[in-house]
Amino acid sequence: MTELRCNDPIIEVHDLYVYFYTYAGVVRAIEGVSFCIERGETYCLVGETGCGKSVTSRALTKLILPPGRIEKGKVYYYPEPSRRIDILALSEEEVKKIRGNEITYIFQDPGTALDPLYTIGYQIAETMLVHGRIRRIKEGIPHAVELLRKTLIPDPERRVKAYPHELSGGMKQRAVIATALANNPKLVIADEPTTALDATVQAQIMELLRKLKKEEGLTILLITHNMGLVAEMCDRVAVMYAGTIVEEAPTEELFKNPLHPYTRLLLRAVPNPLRRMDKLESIPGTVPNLIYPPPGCRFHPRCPHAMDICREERPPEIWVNESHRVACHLYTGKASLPG
Amino acid sequence: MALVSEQYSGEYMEAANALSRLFPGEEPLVIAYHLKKYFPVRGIFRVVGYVRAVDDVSFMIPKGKTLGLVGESGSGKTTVGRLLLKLIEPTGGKIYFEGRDITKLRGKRLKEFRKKAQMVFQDPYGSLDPRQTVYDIIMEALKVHHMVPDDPYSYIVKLLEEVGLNETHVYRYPHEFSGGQRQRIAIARALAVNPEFLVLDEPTSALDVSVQAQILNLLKELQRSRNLTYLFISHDLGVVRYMSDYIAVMYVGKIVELGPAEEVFEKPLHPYAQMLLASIPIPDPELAKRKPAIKVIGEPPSPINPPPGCRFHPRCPKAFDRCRREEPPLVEVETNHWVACWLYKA
Repeated sequence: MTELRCNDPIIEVHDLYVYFYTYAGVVRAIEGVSFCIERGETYCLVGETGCGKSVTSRALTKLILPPGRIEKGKVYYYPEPSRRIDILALSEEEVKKIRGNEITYIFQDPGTALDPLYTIGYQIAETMLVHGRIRRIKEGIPHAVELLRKTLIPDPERRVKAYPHELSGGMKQRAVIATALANNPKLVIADEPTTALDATVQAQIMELLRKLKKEEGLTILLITHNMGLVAEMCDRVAVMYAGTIVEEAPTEELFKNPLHPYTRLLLRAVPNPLRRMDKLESIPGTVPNLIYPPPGCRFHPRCPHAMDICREERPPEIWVNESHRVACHLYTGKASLPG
Repeated sequence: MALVSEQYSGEYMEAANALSRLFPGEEPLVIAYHLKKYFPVRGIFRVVGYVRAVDDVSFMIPKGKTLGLVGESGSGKTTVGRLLLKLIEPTGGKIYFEGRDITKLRGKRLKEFRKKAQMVFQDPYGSLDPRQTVYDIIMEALKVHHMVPDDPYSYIVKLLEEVGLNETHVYRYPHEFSGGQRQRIAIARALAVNPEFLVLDEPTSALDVSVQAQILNLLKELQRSRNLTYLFISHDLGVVRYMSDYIAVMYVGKIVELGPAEEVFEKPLHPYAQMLLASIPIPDPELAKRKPAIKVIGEPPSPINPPPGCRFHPRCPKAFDRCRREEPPLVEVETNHWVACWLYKA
């Protein structure tokens, strides 16, 4: 089992497997995912479509609906350093007390995250009511105004009575964030929170998340496909490929010294607006079908350094230094580092 | 200028002369002159307003080059692409393709134009008929233009090889392909009739990064080998910089900045362009630290009732009185670098 290295983890995930049982076959969405999130940090899961980053984030609070199933693994949640909760062992009722309360989600599309029939204030108050922080919706409205102020929505006294359609995309996402903050969560899971928004609006939402993290002492798990957001937002990052974590490192280290062939290619495939690039590196082939994932290392069919062992054995996760681990046969000690 | 010869109308010569200073030394393939497109907003009984999707823009696309069109949603960039292909009719202004006013084309002349100007759409899932094989998809384009070659099979195989597919793909259906491969099919279809001009509307925004790079490199290669001219529409500034020779930045129906790609990216002059560039997360922690700290505020306004004067003034940190009253014209602020902003003098 992969060794985890966190001083004061808020979440620990050990060897997690989630499968989806579809008509076409069993989709092995994630297999053997292990990581921990340090209290107070921003941790990123980055990867392309279908790499399992969203599934992983949902599995943290058992938010996997049929035909999906958590096959095996452990998720430990530490509300305080000395108290450990085994999330996957909890009943749905017990998990509900944590989800939306201590661990909250911000999803991609603020348009569908909000109910069009209720005012923003009602929806914020409702989350508080559900978790017993208030006894009547009315009590929650002043809190909602405060939360809207905290998320920098102008004129919060008026906006608290607004319906979602009366707000722009950026304001809606701020309202969603306000809802996520309503119960003073310890961990906020933001799943592609700005993918549906314009560039200038995205910048403002990210600025807001940074500010909230500092002021509220939040821990953030950011799910994204955007390497730019990783570079600007995250303390540590895990790169996922086809249902596995292939590399994990502190952000600056990952960009300076990427080790896994996939990470190396991926970083060179992203066009950078601040730099003139004559040729973009492209990764041959496409992401594998997870009903029939390739044996051994899942990246081997696209890997320029693939060896015989890569086709047969799943690579172990190797810590190359205190904080940097990689799952690749190139680093098992025998082979030397290419290029 | 040599690029305006006698066979063209006086109107064209006026437009070409007016725009000849835009990118000196370049020969225009496409010219848009005072182009406008308003979409009516209908109430119950009558039109209650207009969406000014494109509001008086002029530019040219040089032969063999790529003009990158960037802007946020609602800036009018897609509408410009559709206008240039005559997929929709402009409310006002002229579009010239090889010196001919395409807004007036009908019948045979129009067909001739359609052959020369093709489009690749954003969504490779929606733009290919799921019930046709690759062979049928490409044959349809050839039939419509009466260009079916003597040996269509080998012609199609050659096309597929040119876009990085092969003979085994000829009789397959779209659902058998990945997103990147579908986009290759869409490109092959566009190329089947040997066009000169392609409008690429966010051709990679539905694709993953690793596949995006493949498609961008393919488009660059094809441009070189076939001497194609591109209008490249995207909201991704990194992609646009990589692809374009020239850049036009749009904001709520207007071009606010226009110039060679390197100029615009290295030294953006319009406050909106500066804000847009500052809001892009940079995939490099070292470079990101050097990014100018510009406070990003507000959201793009509705194009139905755009703000008076300069449309960016409510969000502009440098706005002054004149910006609220008068609309700034696009003027040459530095050599080849055009900006619509009252901060600068021509």
